[in-house]
Amino acid sequence: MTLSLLTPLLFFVSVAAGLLGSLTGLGGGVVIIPVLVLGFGVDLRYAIGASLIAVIATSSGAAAAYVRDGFTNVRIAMILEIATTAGALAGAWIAGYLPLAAISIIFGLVLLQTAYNAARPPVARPFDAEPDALSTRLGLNGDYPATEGPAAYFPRRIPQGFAVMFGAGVLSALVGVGSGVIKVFAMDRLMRLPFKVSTATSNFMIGVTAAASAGVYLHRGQVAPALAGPIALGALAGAMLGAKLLPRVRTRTLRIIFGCLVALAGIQMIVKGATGTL
Amino acid sequence: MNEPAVQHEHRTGALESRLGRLLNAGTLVSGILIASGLVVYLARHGGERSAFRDFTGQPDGLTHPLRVARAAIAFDPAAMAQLGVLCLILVPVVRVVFSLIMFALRKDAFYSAVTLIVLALLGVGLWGAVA
Repeated sequence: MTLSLLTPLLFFVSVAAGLLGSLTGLGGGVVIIPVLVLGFGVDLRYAIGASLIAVIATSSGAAAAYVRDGFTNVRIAMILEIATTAGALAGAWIAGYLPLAAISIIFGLVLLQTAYNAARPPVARPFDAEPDALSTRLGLNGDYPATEGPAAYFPRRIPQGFAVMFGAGVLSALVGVGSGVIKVFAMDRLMRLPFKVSTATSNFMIGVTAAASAGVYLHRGQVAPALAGPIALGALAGAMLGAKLLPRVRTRTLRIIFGCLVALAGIQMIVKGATGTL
Repeated sequence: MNEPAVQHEHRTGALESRLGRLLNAGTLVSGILIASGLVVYLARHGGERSAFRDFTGQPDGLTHPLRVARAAIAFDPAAMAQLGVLCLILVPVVRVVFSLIMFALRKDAFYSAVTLIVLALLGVGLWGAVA
C-alpha cells in the first residue's frame, strides 16, 4: 500500500479507535495495536510506539474536559506516578530484552482481561466513612463536587495501590497501552476512590506514564512519524468527539460488542505469538 | 474558611484555567506540526510503499529530542511531524511541571519533592538513558 493511501486510512481508523476507547472507557491502545498488526501487517514494535503516542493524545484530548472539574486528586496522582513512571521505565527496559513473541502473548492476555472488564456490568461499592491513618498523614483525603454538594472521600490501602500502579506502569510500557483498566481497578477497588475521581485522576496519570515510556521508544526508533503522526491526530479527534458524545450515548451494548471484538483480537495475538508468525 | 485561604483558592483557580488553555494550545500546536509535516512528507514520498512491515528503526535525526528539533527547524517534513509528536509527549510533562509550581507556591515541601522525583523519572525516559 502506498503512503498516500495508508495515511488517511490510519487517520480514520484512529478516529474510530479514539471514539470507541473514550466511549467505553477502555482507551485507544487496545484497538490500535490489533488493527495495525492484524489488519495492516505492521511490525509490533512500530505498533507499540505509535499506540503510546495515541494513548497520550487520548489522555490530552480528554484532559481538556477534566482539568478544571475538581475531580482530579493531584496529590494521589503524583504519589502514584512515582510508581507508574518507574514501572514504565522498567517495562520499556525489559521490552528491549524480551522476544517479540512473548510481548505479543502478554498483549493478548491484556486484551482478554480488557474484554472481560468491558462485558461485566459495573458494580457500585459503598465508600468508607472512616479516614485511613496513612492517607490522612499524606493529606490524600479530599472531596469532589457531587450533585448534592461537596462529598468527602477517604482513600485507603495506599501501599497496595502503589504496588499495583508499578505493575500498571510496567505493563503499559511493555505492550503500549494506557493500562487504564488496572489503574481504575487500583483506585476503585483497592483505594476506594469515587468513580469520577478515579477516572479523572487515572486519565491524568495515563498521559504521564505513557510519556515516560514513549521517550524510551523514541530513542529506540520505534516512533515513526509517518505512522504515529496520523494515528495521533485521529486519536485526538476521536477522543474529543467521544468526550462530547459520552453524556448522550448508551454504552452498555457498545461495551459488549467491543468486548467480543477485543477478545477475538486477544486470541489472535496469543496465537501469533505462540506460533511465531509475527 | 478564612480570608487568605479564599484568596488562595481563587488564585489557584485562575492558574488552573490558564493551565487548561496552555495545554489545549500545546495540543493544538503539536496537531498543526504533525499535519503540516505529514502533508509535505506525503507530497514527496506519497507514492512510496509503506515500510512498517519490517522493523528497521528510524534515522538518527528522528530519535533524539534535540536532533529532531534541529532537523525540524531546517524544514525536514518527517522531523516536523516528529517534533509535533514530541510536543504531544511533552503535554503531560508540562502538566507535571505546573503541579510542581502549585506545590511550591503552597510551600508544600513533601509534594514538591514527590513531583520532582516524577519529573526526574520522565527526564530519564526522554533523555534515552534507559534505551
